[in-house]
Amino acid sequence: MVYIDWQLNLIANFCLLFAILQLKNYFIREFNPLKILIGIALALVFGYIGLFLDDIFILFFIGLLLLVYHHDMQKSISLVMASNIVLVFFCLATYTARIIFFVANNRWQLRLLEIYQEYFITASLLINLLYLVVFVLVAQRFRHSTAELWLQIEKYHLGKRVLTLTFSVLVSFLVILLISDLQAVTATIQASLILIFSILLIVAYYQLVFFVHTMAIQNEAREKLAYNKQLNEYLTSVQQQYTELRKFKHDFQNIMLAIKPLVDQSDSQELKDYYQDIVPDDEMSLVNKGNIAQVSAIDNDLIRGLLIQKFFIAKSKQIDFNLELTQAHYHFNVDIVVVRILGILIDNALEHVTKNREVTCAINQTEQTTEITIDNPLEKKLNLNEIFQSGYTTKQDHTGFGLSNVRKLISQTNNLFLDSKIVKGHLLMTLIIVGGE
Amino acid sequence: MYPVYLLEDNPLQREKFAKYIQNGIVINDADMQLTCVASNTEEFLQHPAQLGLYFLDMEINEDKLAGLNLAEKIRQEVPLAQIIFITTHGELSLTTLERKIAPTDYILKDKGFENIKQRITDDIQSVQEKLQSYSHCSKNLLDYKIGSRYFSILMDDLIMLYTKKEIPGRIFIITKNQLAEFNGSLNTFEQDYPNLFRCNRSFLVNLDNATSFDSKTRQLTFIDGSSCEVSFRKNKELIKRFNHK
Repeated sequence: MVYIDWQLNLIANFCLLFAILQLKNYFIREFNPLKILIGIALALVFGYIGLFLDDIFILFFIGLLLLVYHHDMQKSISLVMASNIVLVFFCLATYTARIIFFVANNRWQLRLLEIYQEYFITASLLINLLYLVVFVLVAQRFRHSTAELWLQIEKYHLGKRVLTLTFSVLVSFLVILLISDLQAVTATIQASLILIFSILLIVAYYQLVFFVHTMAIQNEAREKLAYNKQLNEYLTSVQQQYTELRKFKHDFQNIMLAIKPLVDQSDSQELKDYYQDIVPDDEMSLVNKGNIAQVSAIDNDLIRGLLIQKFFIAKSKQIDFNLELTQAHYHFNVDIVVVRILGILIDNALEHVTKNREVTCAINQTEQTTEITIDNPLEKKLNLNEIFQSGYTTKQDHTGFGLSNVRKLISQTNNLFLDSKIVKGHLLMTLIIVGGE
Repeated sequence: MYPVYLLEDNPLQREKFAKYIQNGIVINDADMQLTCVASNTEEFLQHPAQLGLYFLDMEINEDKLAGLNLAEKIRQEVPLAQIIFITTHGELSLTTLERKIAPTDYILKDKGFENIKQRITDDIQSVQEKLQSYSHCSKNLLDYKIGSRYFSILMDDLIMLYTKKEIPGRIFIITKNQLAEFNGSLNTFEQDYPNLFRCNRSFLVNLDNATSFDSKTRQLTFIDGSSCEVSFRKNKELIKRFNHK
């Protein structure tokens, strides 16, 4: 064992604690002068306590801080992570410094370290600082994915598990340090222990990330299942209501048409007026509109999701979004390009309609070919030639890049075709998809 | 004599519609004749489908799609047939119909007999006008195929076919009211449709719809405002073609 002067020991303890606190602050992005001052004070106090308690003081320090942070999961995890990392680096730095000293003096004697302890401690602290800076620089590059990981942890309430995992890693780490100190294990063995442990630590963190991702995927799947179930139940009930209404409407219209001759023969003007009142019945014709329930005939989640989403957007803008799905089943085996194009086409249609607020989406499918048509009434004359040019727009406050993007997307594929047609005052944009089974 | 067909399962309505059609023909002094009045598809199919005007009910004897299926058949056999649906069905999917059949008109029964009568008369008039305007020019169609579907474009509507260097193998079509695209080669179309003029490597145009030609810039302009350059080699041929007209 190497016996080190208590002042130097204090400095080392102080640096360790201060590094932990600063790394924690770095993790949660909370830097300000007050925090740093508090950090210095805390590190000083606990560093002094550490003189009497050996390495176990770190556990004491962390435990106390955890009690303070018990309501804030992110802080707690950051703190434990930071202390794990700093401890590993401290140990590594110490060993690096040792090796440098031995090599420099070409003598492998522990006494050397005692003689040159001021230099040795300073050197190891500097090396430690270097390690930490390198770590922070590397971590900076993974900042984004770390943030994402954290969001997932938060979203699926995995904080407690992660904290337990990291905390047990810390405890076991400290136990190694403590026991090797008590048992006066030689530095070489301690070094290899810590090295092995560090490797285990890295593996454990890797496992942690993997675990969180798995949990996230599992949870997502569960949520989606529940959502789909709810949606399907809703769609079924809407479908039933719709079918009943439609039946009624059909009967009603036939009856009305049948009694027309009787009404015509009748002398009662009252009856004739009444008949005139109910025949052009707008509310009856509304029955057919917005039948989103048909969307369940589409077997592709992406396309179905898109249509439902656009249906609700249309609804919020008081636009009738009609679906014409005359087949019982539509099979889609498409990539995301189709969904993007469809999204742009529907958005364009929804933005275009102002007076006659009605957009229709019809899908026709034969074995090899699928046609998706977006139909919207035209408000003014339109030159088809111009609408695909980048920057062309009929709308105000709109950049008009949608359709030129559609063109670009289609050009990248070989099985998509776009057909735009103006018929009876309507613009029909049809995306034709060939193949894809 | 341009034949007119009627399919309607309800006897009362069938009788009325037939009367309206005959009235319409007389009023418009149209060169048409009501040759077939059928109450179901079997009866209807006994008459050979030919170029004519078709009034079809959508739902025939509980079969909701009978009229639609029949129309698809007619469209296949007679691409230029004028098809008009008369139907109670509000949920008749207009956009789908437009893509599948491209009917001349849809008449909704919901609006009452007076309205139906007016629409039938109007439709007969518009078909009559169409017939007169087409009779002087070519009636043929330009056909192309995407996947398993065949499409036709009226030659009178066609403005040009062209290709783009950056998207080889794809042909773009411009017509009076439509833009379309499909995979193919211009050479085959140049051979199959000699009435079209190949003005340079990547453009095959319908000169009937050209409006002006600037011989200095060799720029050919069309009725929709689109234009293309005529290659130096083809310049002479173009002038020859214009002189022939």
